[in-house]
Amino acid sequence: MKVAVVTPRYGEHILGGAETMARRFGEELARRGHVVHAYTTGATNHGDLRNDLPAGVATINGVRVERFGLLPIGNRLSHDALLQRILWGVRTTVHEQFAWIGAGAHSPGMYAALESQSPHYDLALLIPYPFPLIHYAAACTRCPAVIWPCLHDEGYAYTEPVRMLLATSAGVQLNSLPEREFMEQRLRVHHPRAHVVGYGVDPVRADAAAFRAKFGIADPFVLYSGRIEVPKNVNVLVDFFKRHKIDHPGPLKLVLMGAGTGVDTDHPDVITLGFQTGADKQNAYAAATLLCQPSINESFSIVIMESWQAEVPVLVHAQCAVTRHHVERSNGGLIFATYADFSQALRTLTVNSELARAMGARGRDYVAREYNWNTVLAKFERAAEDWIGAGMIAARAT
Amino acid sequence: MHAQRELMAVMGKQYSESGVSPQDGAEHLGATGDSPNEIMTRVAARMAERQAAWSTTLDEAQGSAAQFGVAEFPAQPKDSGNAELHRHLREVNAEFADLHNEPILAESPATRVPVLGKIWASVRQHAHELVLFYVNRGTFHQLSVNRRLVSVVNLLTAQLEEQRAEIAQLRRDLARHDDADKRRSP
Repeated sequence: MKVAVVTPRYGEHILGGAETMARRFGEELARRGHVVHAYTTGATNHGDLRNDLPAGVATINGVRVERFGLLPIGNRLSHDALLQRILWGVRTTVHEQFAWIGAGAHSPGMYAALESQSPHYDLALLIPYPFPLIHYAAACTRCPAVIWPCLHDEGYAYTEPVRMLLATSAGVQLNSLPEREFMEQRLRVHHPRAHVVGYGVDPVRADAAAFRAKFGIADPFVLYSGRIEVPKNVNVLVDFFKRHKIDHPGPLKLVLMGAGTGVDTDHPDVITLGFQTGADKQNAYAAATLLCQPSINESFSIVIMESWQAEVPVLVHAQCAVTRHHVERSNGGLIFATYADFSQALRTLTVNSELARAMGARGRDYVAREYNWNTVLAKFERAAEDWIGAGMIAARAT
Repeated sequence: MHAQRELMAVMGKQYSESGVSPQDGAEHLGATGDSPNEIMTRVAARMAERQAAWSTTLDEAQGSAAQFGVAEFPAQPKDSGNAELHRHLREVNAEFADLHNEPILAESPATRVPVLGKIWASVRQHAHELVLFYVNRGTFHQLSVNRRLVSVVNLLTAQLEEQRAEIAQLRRDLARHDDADKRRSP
C-alpha cells in the first residue's frame, strides 16, 4: 500500500501528541512494508505555524518527508480574535468559521503537490483536524482522503468546517471508542466508514536510578509529561498539588516535563525539566510514583500508555472521556474530579506502594494487549481496504 | 520562475544546511506554472464549492452539532404544561454564547485629519485592543460560568419533564385502579 501522511508539523523533535502519532504511525507502516510519504511544512511550533525549517526532501526512519513553505497569516489580529471566539465557543456564523479556515496558515506548494501527486497513492491520511491547512489539503487530495482527526471536546470541533471535513472524507480514523461517541453524539457526524484504529505504543526500557542520578531528584514525585499550558489543564494540576502540599507536608514533588507558557510553576516542590526525549523521558516514567494527566482534551493520551509501559499508575481527570475510559478498562489508575479526589488519590498511591505497583502492572498488560503495533496496524489495514474501496466512489461523487 | 521565486521568498530560509535543494519545495509549482496566489485562489474556490454543497445537506442528513460545552437542550414535550419555561430555555440557549466584543472604530473628524489622523486612528485602535484584552478575560470566564449554568438548567428541565410525565402516568394508573375498585364495589 502507498500512503501519504499529511500533517502540518513532522519530525523527531516536534512536541505534540498528534504529531508524534503521525510520525511513529508512518514509520511503523513503512517498517511493515508499506510505502509512506509525509507531506508537511517547516513549522515546529504548535501555536504559531511558520517556516522554522527549510523546505526540501529527506528520508527519516524509512519515511520520505517533504517539507513545503507556509504563507504568513494575513491579518494576524483579526485571525487571532476569531480563533479566540471559536475556541471559547462564542457563537460564530458559518461564514466566519469558513473565513477563519481561509485566513489560516496555508501552503500552496503542498496543495499543488497533492493535486499532482496524490493520485499515485492508495490513500492519504490527514492529521490532525484543527489546522486550516488540513482542510485545504483534503480539498486538494485526489485519492481517498482519510481524516485522522484526534478530536478534542473544544470549540473548534463544533464548527461546520470540521463537521464537513469529517463527513465528506473517504473515511475517519479514530483513536478510541469515546472519540467515536463524541463525534457521533456531540458533533452529530455519523460516518459509515469511521474506524477505531488506536495507536501503537513503543516498549519503554526505563532506568529509574539513572533518572534520579542525572536530575538529582531523590524524593518521590508526581510526573506530568506534555505541553505545560492552560489548555492542557496543567494549571489545575499545579494548583491542586500546591494545596495538597499545604494539607500534607512531606517530600513529594511535582515534576513537569515538557515546554509551554502560561502556568505559574513557581513553588519549591514543583520541578520543571523542560522538553526531554529518548532515554531521559522513559527513565522519568519509571522513576515516578505516579503520572498525572489532568487534561480534559485527549483523543488518546500517549503519555499514560508510556507510563503504564513503565508499570507506573496514572491519575486522570474525570471530565476526559478518553483517559477515563482507559483507566476504567485497565484498572491501571485513579480518577479525580475535585481537589478532594486528587489529594486522596495522591495519598493512596504514595502510601500504598503495593496497590500502586499492581495498578501499574494492570496498565502495562492493557497496553500490551490493546495497543501493540501488530494489533493496531492490522486494524488499520482492514480499515484501509474499506476506505480505498469506498473512497474512490466518494471522490468521484465530489 | 517568478512564481518559484515568490514562494522561495515566503519560505525565507537557508536550504544549504540540510543538504536539500531549494527546488524541492517548489518543483510542483514549476510543473503547473501557477503562482502561490493562483493556487490559493483555485483551492479556495474548491473549498467554497464544498461549503455550498455541504450547506445543502445540513438540514437533510447531518443536522447540526450540539453546542460546545453545554448539556443537551431538551425538546419541549407536546403536552408540556409550562410553555413559558421552554420559551425562556430556548432563548437562553440561543443567546448565552452571543458576544459582541469587536472593537468599534468608526471614523471621526479627528481621524480624517491628514497624517496626524492616521496616527490617532492607530493609537485609538491599539487602545481599544488593550481594553478588550482585559475585558475579554473576565468575559470569557463569565461565558464559561454561563455555559455551566445553562447546562444545569437544561438538565434540570429534562429531569422535570421526565418526572412530570411519570407523575401523569401514575395519576392515570391510579384513576384506572379507582375506576376498577368502584366497579367491583356493590
